[in-house]
Amino acid sequence: MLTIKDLHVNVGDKEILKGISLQVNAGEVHAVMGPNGSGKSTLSQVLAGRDGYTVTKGSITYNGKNLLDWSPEERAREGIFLALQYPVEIPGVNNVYLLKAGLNAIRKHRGLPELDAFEFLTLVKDKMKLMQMDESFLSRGVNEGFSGGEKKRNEILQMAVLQPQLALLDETDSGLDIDALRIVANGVNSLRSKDRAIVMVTHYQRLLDYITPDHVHVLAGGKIVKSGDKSLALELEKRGYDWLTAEHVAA
Amino acid sequence: MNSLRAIFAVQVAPAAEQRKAWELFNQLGLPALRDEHWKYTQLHRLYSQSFAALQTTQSLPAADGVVIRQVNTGAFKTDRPFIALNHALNAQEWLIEVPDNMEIRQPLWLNMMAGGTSSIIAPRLTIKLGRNSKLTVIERYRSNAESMYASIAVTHVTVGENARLEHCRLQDANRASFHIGSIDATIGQHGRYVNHYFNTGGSVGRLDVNVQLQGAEAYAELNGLQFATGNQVLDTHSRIEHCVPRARSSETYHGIADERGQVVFNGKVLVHKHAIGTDAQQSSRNLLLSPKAEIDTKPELEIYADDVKCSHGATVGQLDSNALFYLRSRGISEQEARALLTLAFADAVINKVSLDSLREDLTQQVHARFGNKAEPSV
Repeated sequence: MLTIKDLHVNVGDKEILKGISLQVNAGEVHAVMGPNGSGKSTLSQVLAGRDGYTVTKGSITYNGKNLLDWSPEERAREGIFLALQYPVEIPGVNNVYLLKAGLNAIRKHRGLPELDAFEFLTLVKDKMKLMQMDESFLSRGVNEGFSGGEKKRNEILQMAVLQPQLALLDETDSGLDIDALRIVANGVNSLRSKDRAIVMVTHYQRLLDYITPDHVHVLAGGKIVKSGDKSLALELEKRGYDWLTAEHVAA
Repeated sequence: MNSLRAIFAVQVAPAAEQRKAWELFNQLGLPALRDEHWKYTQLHRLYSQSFAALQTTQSLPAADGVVIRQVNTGAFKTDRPFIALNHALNAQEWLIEVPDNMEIRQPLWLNMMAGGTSSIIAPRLTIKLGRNSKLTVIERYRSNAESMYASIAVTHVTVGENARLEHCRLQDANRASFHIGSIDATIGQHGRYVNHYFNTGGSVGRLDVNVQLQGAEAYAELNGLQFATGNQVLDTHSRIEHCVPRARSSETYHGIADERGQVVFNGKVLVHKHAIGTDAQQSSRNLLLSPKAEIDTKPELEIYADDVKCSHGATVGQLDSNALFYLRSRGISEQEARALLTLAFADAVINKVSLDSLREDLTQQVHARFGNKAEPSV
């Protein structure tokens, strides 16, 4: 589904990603781990199409097409969703409006009819139950006055409604208490399917206690320095990142 | 100027007071570009017009409980040329009075319509609220044609003790036209005055709103939305005087300038020596949506009392790039995302209007300017 080859990315004059290759297939869950400043967030932002990142070398193909040709909204319509580390507050734009406008834009792109108000609200209320969110959130401004945990839950709610093919989670566990973490993980697990891939970017292993990855990659200094299965995450939990970065430097 | 002279001359027999007003107007002279208070207003566009007709008759609706009648104004004083011009062109004013202890539920709509080509209207209103009374007034300035006209409008407001007035002015003249207006309000003890100005039409739209808080614990709230596209120049000057202790004022002005549009805000808060315990807030936030658009905002505080709480803030910026990316990453087009964020910025002022039907109308009007790119579908 997603093939990243030798990806080099600059922010300004500074090279952040220094040759990343990654293959993500439908049905898989990948965890990208690494110390702060390793380029984890850059990777997820580049995939979602954020301005300010320059790809200097390499390629990203998504379902056989060049992802880098597309605007952020085209990527979203093609099935890519990024749950942000810091969701933005947008007073004056309703949550429910954002959900409906987004969902209908995606459906239209796929040649599907728009949902009517009843079908839409049924779908949204169902997903809100899953995320244990009160319906009053719908009429509020996007993330306006939400706590950190509520914002993260709202991201997963959007994901559950928009039903992406490729879900990217950027530090979704940061700032969550244990109950909120369980709810968020539950929401993500409900989306696991053979047609969908999930890429989680995270600093800590604890999210992986709830969402079990098929593949774990360690990103350090802008490169993937080690890949393995879920046991790699457990090893990182015990030993930290230093042994890997030291090994990488030595190599 | 010659054109305004011709317009004065078309009056068959101007009253003595009108001739005096005309002399005063000539003495004061029209504001020039070098005049600090008018330097952005592009009045040369008004001065270069030829006016052919003076339209003096305006009829106002009747309203239960409100006394509405036309009276001769008589002697007056001013140092402002457009007020003198208004008096020179029109001897009569509308007096709108709400007696003591009378709460008027039905909002009073005053349509200040101009008809005909190259006409000029000079309406003058005095709105007086007796003690413990309540009223909502909407003044709407527009024309029924697409041809050029000018409204030179003067409104005086007196809010009595413990009275409440919500006062909206909608300026949505066609793009060839002009609105030069003033509102002078005096608020008594525990009185409450809320003014909304939607300055969205015309080639040039200018309002001077002056409020004197003259009774203890009086409250004034001034809200404004100025939305300039094309080559519109939309300008609001506010001045709030805190004359007595413990009065409060709050100002929220949002400006949006797109294409070659220009938005001007100048807001002065003057706290007199004895006005201790004053609480005054002012906020001017502005969106600059195109490289050729212009925003000029200038907050001014003049404080002569101790123990006061005054704040002001003025910002000029572009749409938040984080918010734009966020909306787009959910599948919404860039164009729609921009429209949504701009509308949200406008709605923040529109939502302060308490009259539901008016609020909905205003929202629709602003949405329409985006060609319904962001019509809510929920």
